[in-house]
Amino acid sequence: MANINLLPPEIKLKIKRSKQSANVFSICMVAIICIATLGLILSSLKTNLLQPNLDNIKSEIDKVSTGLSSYATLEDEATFLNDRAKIAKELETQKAYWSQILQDLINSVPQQVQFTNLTADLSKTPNFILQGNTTNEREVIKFKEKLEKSNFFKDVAFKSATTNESTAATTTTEKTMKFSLEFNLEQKQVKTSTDKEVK
Amino acid sequence: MSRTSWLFVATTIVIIGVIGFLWLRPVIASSWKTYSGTQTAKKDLTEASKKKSVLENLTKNNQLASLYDIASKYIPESSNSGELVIELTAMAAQSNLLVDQVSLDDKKDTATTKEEGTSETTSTPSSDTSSAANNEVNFSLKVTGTFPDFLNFLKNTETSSRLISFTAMTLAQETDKFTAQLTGKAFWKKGSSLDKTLANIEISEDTINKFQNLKTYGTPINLPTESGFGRTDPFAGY
Repeated sequence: MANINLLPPEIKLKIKRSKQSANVFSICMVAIICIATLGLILSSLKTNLLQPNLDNIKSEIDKVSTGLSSYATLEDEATFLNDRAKIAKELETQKAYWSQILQDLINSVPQQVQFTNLTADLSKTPNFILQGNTTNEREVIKFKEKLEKSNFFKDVAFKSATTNESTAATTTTEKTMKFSLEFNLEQKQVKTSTDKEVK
Repeated sequence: MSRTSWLFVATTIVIIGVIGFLWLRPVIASSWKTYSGTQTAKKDLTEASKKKSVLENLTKNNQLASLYDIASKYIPESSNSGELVIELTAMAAQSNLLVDQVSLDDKKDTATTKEEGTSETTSTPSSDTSSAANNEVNFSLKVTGTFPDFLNFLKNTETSSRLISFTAMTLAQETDKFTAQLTGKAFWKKGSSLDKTLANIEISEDTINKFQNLKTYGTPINLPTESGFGRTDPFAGY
């Protein structure tokens, strides 16, 4: 059965607009209520959950901190120990380990070479000035080549060689050669990985 | 939509805006602040608990006190130049070297990371007196003996209880003896520059080994146990 609305169009439009306004009003009210509820929930969450939780944690921190104050001396000592270990590590990496350097130097000396004077200064270039005696130039060159191959030294320069012939009491003529070498320090301590090729 | 509906929408937007700005915004800001504070506090609590646990473990470590003493000697809080002289001369004596001369010169240096380069000048004095600065005691030493003994002396200085670094040396064979003129520096620093964080109170095995392997030479002066003070004529021979 079909329903026929016999109301005039103006009244029909008015009723339609009233319904639409009612709907919009309802939606607006729901939106306002939702926002207000959200605010209430957040406020309640903060008051009843977040703040008590924060207060609990803070009181626990206070308790632990109070306990920690009894270890103040121990804490100072441990910090001091780590501070010194840190500085020592820094300084030791810059430090030259002379026993290793000199050991490497003497390991490179040929049998017929004698040192008379060795000056080492890390603040000047060349770092090393070595003077000594030998029997012939070949020994000095051998020594120079050996130093070049060392991991500790670099820039080895042959500076001078002077021959002095002296007659010994046994009347055998011995040849003595004074020489001078200059070189720089390449590394200050033994490294685990070799930078240069193996001698 | 009718005019009334638009009016409702506009009013609702205004109400929501007012509620949001005057009430919701402070509530959200405050809740967020509390939440962030809780997260930070949780981290602090974890850190404090770990710190407590580390410190409790440290109390069981009997080595800590002796390690502290060794570290205090390795890089002391003051120049301790007297002990440095005792240490140097004792090391020389143990290596059968005769000490001809010792001299000291205190100075301050701030740069721990500065390269003691092979072709650069060594550290320069600075007026920085902050506790974070590393200070130096420069010394020079002349010893006589034999080269092997001198090498042994150098090895001893590398494991001695005071951190010593030689910067220059002149070695010479004189008519009947070997002489070595050395210049070097020892270090000292007032206090500690590390914060008391968890990472800075944990003592690693490396740190323990580092300080345990150092060796002390000579006996430091302990005034209360020393005797024989006071002379009528100090210009008279002794």
